[in-house]
Amino acid sequence: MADPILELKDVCRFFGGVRAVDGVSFCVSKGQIKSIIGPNGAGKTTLFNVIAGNMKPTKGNIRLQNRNVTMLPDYKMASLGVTRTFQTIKIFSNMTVLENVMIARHPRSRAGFFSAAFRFPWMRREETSLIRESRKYLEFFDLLGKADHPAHTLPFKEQRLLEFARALANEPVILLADEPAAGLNTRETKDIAALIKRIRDTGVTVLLVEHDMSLVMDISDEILVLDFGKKIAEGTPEHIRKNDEVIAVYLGRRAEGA
Amino acid sequence: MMKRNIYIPYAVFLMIVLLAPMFVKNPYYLGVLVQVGIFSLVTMGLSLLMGYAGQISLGHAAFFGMGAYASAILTGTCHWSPWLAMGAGMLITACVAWFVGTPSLKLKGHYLAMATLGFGLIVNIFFLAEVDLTGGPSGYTFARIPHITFIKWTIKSETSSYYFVWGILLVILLLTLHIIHSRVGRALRSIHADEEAARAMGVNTAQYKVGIFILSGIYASLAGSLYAHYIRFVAPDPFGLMESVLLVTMVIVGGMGSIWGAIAGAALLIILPEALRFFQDYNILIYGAILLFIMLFLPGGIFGGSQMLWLLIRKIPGRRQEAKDG
Repeated sequence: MADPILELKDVCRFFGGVRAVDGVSFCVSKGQIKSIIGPNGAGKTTLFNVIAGNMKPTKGNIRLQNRNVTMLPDYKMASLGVTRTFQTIKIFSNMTVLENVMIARHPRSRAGFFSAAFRFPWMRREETSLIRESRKYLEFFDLLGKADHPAHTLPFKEQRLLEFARALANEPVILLADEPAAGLNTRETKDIAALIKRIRDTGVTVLLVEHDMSLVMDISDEILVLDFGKKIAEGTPEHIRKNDEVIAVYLGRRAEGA
Repeated sequence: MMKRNIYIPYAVFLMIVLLAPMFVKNPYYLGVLVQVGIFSLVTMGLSLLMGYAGQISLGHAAFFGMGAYASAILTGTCHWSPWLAMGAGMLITACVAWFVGTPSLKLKGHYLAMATLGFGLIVNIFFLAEVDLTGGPSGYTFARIPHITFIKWTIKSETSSYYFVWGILLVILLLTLHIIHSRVGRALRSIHADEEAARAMGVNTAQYKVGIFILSGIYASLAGSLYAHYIRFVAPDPFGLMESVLLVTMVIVGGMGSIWGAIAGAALLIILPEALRFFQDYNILIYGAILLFIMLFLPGGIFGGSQMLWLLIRKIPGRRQEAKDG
């Protein structure tokens, strides 16, 4: 596979006796939209947590742009370009819309306690450019008009958009989107699909966990299917649609015995 | 929030502070105001920790005490310059805050409260038990704590103490306002809102939590040093658990999430008992009733409540328009 951004090799995560993720290996190539699907409890979110650095893998190896990042904590992963959005929206409700995006520029700015307290000239310049850059991201998501609103006053869908704006402002190499369509209606889901494609077109690789099959089939370049922590299939949407084991997992176990 | 100018309220406050002694002539009342200044310094740090970063400390009186004892012992027993002792006190406190904060700030909520409470008790026991160093329960009596000298003035009278303490407070207040309205302030508030999301944005939350814990410890230590040179006597009593609780109460009553609230809270909780002396035996009752009233009807504290009032006066539609224009 050409130009792998993210490579997982035999990644495992056990919780006591539970093998939540069990020997998963795959690659995500640059500019791809790759989706991870699987029934409830298949280990999708755990896998996401392991990649994003929220959890350490029990075994295995994770490489980001040919660099070993297996044991790095989540905030370091974020500064290296692995940014995630959450299944339940996690915007900073105590800040304005603009400030939410400015936080995402945290790893790309450097004012500390001391320089902030004394407002050095470079720190003021950094602040001004932070605001300018952040407004650019809000503009991309059509949120500029609400830049100074408290973030918690936004309607649900715009909170999702804000989460994406914030994630993009982090300048990710790869965006991990955990069920971006959760809680949205059909039309809004279509908007999200278009949005994810637009994000991909800006050069960001996307790794997606999603339950909405039509969304996954529509936008994915490649799909990975997990069941009980194990990879059972990987390939293009057409390939996955025809895969017997995937059909068995989704429609019931009887097919296996037959 | 970024656009609102932070210097206008600061300038207004500066004028009030400078002009207050013209109206408060009674040295006793001036003394009360000096105490308000000293406690405001502690609550400002605590407000950064509680209101901004969302962490609690029930041991802040210990940092306050460490500053006071460091100043007392280093100037009294060791004959250091008060300024040097003050710096040493802040340095010692910072180290202790780092040592205590690094493991305990991994805890959350009630557990963090318990850990800091335990720390406060340990420090208080140290003040009580290290009789050779601190003088034990009867306080530091080995030598008289000297007056502090600032350039050529000796800070002795109530008026000079007032200007000295509030001068330092004003400087620290300005630095604090700067920190709040910066990348650091945003990082702290993001921790308050959602730690996991903050880390997902690349904020090293553990480092920031310890950092703000240390900074608030330094504020408390500085306040403690000022206290030692003002009262010129230190004993373990004002640095115990009750004082820690009082400090937290000041921050909450004043209004969390605002530095101005921290000053308002300190002012109210120090001036109120003095003002209520008039009621003699009933003063505690009325004091309690007032606190209860604030907590019931002004959940945002004094400062939050006054902000709400201001919004009502200015009418909300007008503000919406302003936000659109911006």
